[in-house]
Amino acid sequence: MRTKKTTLHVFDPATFDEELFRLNVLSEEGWQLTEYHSLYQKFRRDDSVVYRYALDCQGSLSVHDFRRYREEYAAQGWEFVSQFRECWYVFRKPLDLSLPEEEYLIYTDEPSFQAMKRTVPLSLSTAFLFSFVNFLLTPELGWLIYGVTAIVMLAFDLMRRRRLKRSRPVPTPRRWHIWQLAFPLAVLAIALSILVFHVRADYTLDLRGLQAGVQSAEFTVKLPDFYGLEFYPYPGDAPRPQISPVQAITWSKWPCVRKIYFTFR
Amino acid sequence: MSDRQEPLTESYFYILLCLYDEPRHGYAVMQRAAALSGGKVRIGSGTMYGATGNMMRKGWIEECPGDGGFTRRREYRLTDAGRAILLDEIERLRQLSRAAELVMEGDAT
Repeated sequence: MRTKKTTLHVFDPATFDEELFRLNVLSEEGWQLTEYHSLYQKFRRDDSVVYRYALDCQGSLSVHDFRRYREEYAAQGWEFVSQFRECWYVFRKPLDLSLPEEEYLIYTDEPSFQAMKRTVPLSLSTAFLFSFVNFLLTPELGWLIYGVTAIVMLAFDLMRRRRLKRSRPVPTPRRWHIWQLAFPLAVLAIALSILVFHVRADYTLDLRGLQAGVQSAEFTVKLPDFYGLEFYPYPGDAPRPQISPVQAITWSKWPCVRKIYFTFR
Repeated sequence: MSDRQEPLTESYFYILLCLYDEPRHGYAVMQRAAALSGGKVRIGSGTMYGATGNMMRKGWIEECPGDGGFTRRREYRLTDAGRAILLDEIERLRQLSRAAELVMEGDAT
């Protein structure tokens, strides 16, 4: 029978009350927390005790404040277990069934609980917001994918803030939340964007032998995107022709044939 | 009367009240608050830590070394400002209580 285990579980501050429930259930099953990290947690087997856990967010504490902090909790029987993300602290107390559940609450009035929740940092969307700005400046399909993802992440952030506002100081049974799709969505967006940038074709036109004047060329465009006409120099010492730049945006149905006009001097 | 606008929360009131007569450490404050309220008021560790930190920043209480040598616990004592805040709150609650009694006895005009 194994005596240690590591679980892969991403901590979500918006549902910290559900995480409390998970830790308490694991403790009842004989798994006691030894280390808590944002993406994984370590447990050891010990069936001799059942704990009730407490999760607290306090921001960055000085050495003096941290000492006072642990003393206040230790005075009520709370054992410090772990710290993660610089502002989250995990405590536990052995369960005594003769005591009421209120003994296992660290926040016993609403104003102090709300004050704690105001210190909880919450953000998913910032990583993608720059992509949204980039899309506005350069409307290409790859950046569009990032831009849409940024909007979805922002919506997820708002939902998480709403959930945090409704969270209670008591452990709450876990349930699935739509914003748990955020990580797979982010991975999909990055993969899709890289694919789009990779498969987006460059269209070439050989200008040798062309007469001066207005010319045109036809390209079959496979993906809606923002295309720009670029000039690549001839090899050797041949004089470079002048080409007025032309840009074509194809947001109509695809694949389609677009005719691009340019002036060749 | 000091210049304070918002009423104290129950936890803040009991913490200040428990420090009125002598300095106490956090756990002693929690125990005395429970005793004074007949077991109705329980101040959790998080509430206690947040409240004492806030009150120290406002200057209502201050830390002082406790008795007991190496095993001494950190104690808190009421400052003059904290004492004034507490007395204001007690007067406010007395006024509320008097108003309630008048209404209950049917003598309100």
